[in-house]
Amino acid sequence: MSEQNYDVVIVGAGVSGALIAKQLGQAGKKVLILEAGRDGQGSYEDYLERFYMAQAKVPESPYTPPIVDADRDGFQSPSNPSNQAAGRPSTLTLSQQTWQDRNRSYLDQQGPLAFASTYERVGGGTMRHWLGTSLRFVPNDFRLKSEYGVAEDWPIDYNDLEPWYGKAEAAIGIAADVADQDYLGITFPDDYQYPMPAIPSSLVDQTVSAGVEKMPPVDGVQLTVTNTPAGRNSIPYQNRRVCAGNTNCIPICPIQAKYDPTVTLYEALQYPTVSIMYQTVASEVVVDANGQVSAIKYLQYDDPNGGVTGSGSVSATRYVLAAHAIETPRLLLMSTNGGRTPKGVANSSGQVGEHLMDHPIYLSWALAPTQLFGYRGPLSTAGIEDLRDGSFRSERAAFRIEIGNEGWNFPIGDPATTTLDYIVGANVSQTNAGSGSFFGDSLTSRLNFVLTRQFRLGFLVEQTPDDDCRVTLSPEWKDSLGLPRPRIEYNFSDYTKLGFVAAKQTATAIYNAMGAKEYTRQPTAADVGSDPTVFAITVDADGNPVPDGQAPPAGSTTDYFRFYGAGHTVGTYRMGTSPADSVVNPEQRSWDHPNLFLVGSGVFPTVATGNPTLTLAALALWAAETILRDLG
Amino acid sequence: MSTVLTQATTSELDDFVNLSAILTGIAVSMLKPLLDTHGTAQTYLDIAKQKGGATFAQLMAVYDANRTQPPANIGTIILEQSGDTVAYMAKSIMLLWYLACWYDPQELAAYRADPTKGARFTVVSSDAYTQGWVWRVGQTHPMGYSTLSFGYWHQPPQPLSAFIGGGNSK
Amino acid sequence: MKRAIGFAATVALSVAACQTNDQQGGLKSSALAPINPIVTTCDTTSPPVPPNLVTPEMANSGLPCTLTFTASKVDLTTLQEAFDFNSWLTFMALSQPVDASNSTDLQTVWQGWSDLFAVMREDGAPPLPFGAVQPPPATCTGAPGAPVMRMISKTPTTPTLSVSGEPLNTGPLIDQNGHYVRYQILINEPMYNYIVRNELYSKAGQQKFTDSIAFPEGRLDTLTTGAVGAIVVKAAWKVMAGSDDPSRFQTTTAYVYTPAEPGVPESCHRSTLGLVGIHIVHKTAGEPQWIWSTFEHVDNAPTLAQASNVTASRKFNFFNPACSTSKCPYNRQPPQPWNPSVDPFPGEFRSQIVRATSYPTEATGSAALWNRQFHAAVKGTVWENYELITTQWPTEATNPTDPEGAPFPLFAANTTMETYVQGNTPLASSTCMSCHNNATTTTGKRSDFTFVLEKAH
Repeated sequence: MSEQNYDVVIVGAGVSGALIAKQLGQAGKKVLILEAGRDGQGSYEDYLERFYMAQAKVPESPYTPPIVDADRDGFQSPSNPSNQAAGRPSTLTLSQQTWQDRNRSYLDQQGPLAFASTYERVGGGTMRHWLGTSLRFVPNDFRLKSEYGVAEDWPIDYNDLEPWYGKAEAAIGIAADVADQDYLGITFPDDYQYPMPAIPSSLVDQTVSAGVEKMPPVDGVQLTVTNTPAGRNSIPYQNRRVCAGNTNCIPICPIQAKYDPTVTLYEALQYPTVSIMYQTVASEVVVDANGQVSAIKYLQYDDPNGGVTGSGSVSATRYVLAAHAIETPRLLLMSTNGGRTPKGVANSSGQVGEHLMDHPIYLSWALAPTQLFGYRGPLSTAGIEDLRDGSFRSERAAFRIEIGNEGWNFPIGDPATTTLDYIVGANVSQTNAGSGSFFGDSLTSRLNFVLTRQFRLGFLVEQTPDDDCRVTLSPEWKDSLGLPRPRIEYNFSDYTKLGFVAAKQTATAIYNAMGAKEYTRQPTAADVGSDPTVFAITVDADGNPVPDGQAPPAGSTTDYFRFYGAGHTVGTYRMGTSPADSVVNPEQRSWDHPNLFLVGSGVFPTVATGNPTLTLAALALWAAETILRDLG
Repeated sequence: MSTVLTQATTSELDDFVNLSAILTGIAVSMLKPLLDTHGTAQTYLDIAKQKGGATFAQLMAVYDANRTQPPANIGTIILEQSGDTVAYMAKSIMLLWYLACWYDPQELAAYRADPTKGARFTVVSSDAYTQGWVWRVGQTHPMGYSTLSFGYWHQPPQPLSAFIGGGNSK
Repeated sequence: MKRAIGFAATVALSVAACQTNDQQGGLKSSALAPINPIVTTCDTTSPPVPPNLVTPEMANSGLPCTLTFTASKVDLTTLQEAFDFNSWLTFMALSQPVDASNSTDLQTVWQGWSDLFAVMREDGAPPLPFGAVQPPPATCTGAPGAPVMRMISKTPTTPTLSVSGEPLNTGPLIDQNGHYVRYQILINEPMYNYIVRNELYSKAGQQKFTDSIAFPEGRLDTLTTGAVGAIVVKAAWKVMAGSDDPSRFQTTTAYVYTPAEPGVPESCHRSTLGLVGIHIVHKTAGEPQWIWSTFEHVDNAPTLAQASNVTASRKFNFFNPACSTSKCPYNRQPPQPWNPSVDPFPGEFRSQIVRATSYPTEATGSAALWNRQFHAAVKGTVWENYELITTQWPTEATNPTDPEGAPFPLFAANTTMETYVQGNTPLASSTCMSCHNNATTTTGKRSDFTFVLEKAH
């Protein structure tokens, strides 16, 4: 394949790449998108069929390459990423047995804890299986250091980003009412209206709300239930249908009422100057003697389980890497330019791949005292946002609370687990004391009783940017193209762990206020070290963390927590005010290479307290404007 | 709507559906509607015969020998008084209806002994998944398959009887 | 025993009695004509019982107001046959010729109905009178009174406005001559009346309307007296060109219009088009989820099973037997960008379409039965070149937990209109009622199984 000169080459057809491609195409710029994964067009039936037949209906389950293989009896088990040309992580490989198995885990996980979030490599990207939650960050999210002396400040603030939030909300199509959303300092222009009216609350929301209204303040804060802005249609929008409550946003909305980036991608591809190459894996960013990026090299494959079938390079006036927060640093680190850039490209700061963060989730679950009819509506329609900011942030991580509408599906894989309990005679759900088995009316009444009272609260804890969390290249694990797979080191700071302690207390307080019976199962000491998604924290009588290895003083308590990934991978090429400690400037332009932009959640200096999608979409639109100004 | 099919000569399918109703607690007329657009009953009978073989035949023989008993008795006889082989075969059939998944009876027996090992299963089909009865027992729909309209989740659902019928295991 | 099908019949009629006068066809004021006027010509012809066959008189016996049949037994086969027979009667009745008032063409009854664009106008203005043809854009000349074909996917979006056109990213259909297939949506007079009377033709009007949306129903009162109710037609048209034989098609003269795109001016040319697909959707008292009939031109495409065995000389509208599956993969959207002004489609791409939805034997057997008989009855007319694919109907119209009414068959697709969503995957594959069950007005209110209302400005 010969070089062709483009105005812009974009690596990655996810939400950032698609939004930028559309803006550039609209302006008549010549754009080429390189996408590692398959073309998603025309595959919806394929994805949905794969989902319906999946034995583990995890977020990745509909997409390609398939995360499981089936044996001859049809039983599915994790597929082998060593045999995949564009593989990616899976939540099926986070157990003790699999997380460090090179034939199971795509990521070369070095620990001590497992990085528990995943992403996709397919047209449309990871946002194909987002929930739809579209929160703006609160102003203090951008000022964690100057307000609370913790972590970093962003080099931009809420007011800088505010106009872009509005544009992102129009581009995606967000359903919300402004009157619900101006808390904790969030502001809107005077006449601002979200594109669509808010999604109605669920009965679960209403029940939780009635309970928290009776609670005394937590950490000085009165808790309230707030409707969640969502990229989900409440009226017809972008020629897509309104939500029908399929309760399946993750992993796939069967009717595309939930926005996904293929919508924008296909709009972008309608501009005659925008084109895309699928199954095209960027393998090196080429830098010339002047420190400018001069080309992107790529490898191509025909068979998703096969090797290289083609290669080439493309050049452009501007380059955009939009491959998400693990694959983008992987690409930069792989780009050694024959030894001229041994630390990789754009990495004079040494920060490429550093400060990997997620929102680790503390998951709790309970039975309500009355029926609240879960498993209905979108997966989540409301949350408790009041604890996203406050003076406690100087001591421990903040969190937002996501109210789940899907019963105990997330915590224990229900309704299947409880059904097995009552039919086979077991008590995995903890609701079947005595492990009896039932049939007929006594089965239906028991199952109905439990299923209609189940609900869960997920606490998305703000992980700090830490020095022991990073993406590098695996020295030995490769994909089927021969490229090194990402290596991950991951852990939590005490600040983050103290957020879990507070989350646990808050959950219990909420359940008590509701008169709900809590069923959250906490891990034990035995699980630490034998389950890479379990950690411990010991605090002394004053609530201060006791360092590892130190003998706990009298009055100390130890908590054991299981965490889950929220799918919010951020931080690995952060923006900042100085090239000494950041990878991109506030324009998301590489400090080292002025014709290179890095976009997506990797630019976040902190993970903040809201789901990242809306913020990264806003930043992408902002970057598009900057690029257009560059191109003149 | 229809009640339990009690013809003089019942077909193999009728027997299967009658027994399934007793075990699952779902009305016969819902397991196999008059106009059966999904044909789920026949699908599950075929699977039970193919995967269950002699064990399934044994189960149906127990049913046949006790068919005139009250439904509650039939259930007890099959699930508690005819040995594990028959009982777990019956449970596999219940799980077909509830979860649209095939769990081999031996997987279920092993699961009862040690649930920490999990139980392997396969999903029957995407169509069957949309007809799983566990969701209706929860007064809802399968995750990933809703026939309701925007905003329905703001209000309570129809009563349980609308979903599963009056039940006939008294 | 004749009966209106659908256990819902008595329930629906009593519900109808509770609705407003507007619904019933009664008068809100003496000056207003009824929305759903009484007619005395409801066709109540029953399906012929073997050895009787469909006769030409039967085939042209007129428009059923609702489904009536003689019930020998209630099972899927018998009812499917009743619905499919009803579909053919409806198709033939709507295909009767009428003089077009302002063109030299003879046209069919349904072609005289109101086009969607004449009802949902760009500024939310009141619709043109029923049946009035919208004046074409200024660039269109040479065929006064001709309809304007501007839709390139089955939903009316301009090419760059949300090009996905359709949920799940479907796309345009390119025939063997490289021309884009064009689509029309037309509504009958009771449906038109309901929209106009309730001001549902604009976003503002829809916001003001506080009732639930309930289009008028076809029903039979006594003998042949009743009301027709709402009917929507969606038609797919193919430009007659190359080796196409217009005598094998119902044809029309129309403007083929494409609005301007960045860098591409608007274009309009007069063309003769042939009908390749038609949906007829009829709301009746017994089927509040409507009855969904779909017909295709017999030369459109082979089935998936037939596709590898087709003789090379057989001519299809949307399939090339001589092209290998590697060069012409089945049912793939054209490569983007989709630019209807660039005509023919650049490069070699032509849509290679196969019929990929599987139907149950009750449906395939019934469709084959009536296609055979009606084709014999209308032999020598152009109608023998159109075949019924299937009719989707609710088996439990009043099911309290399933507003879709348990449709049968589960899936249905027209290769010209649901080209890229043919299959048997729940929700993702084409199924009339499930998709239309999600239809709403511009305010998100249920719109009674039609997407027409969401197109208001």
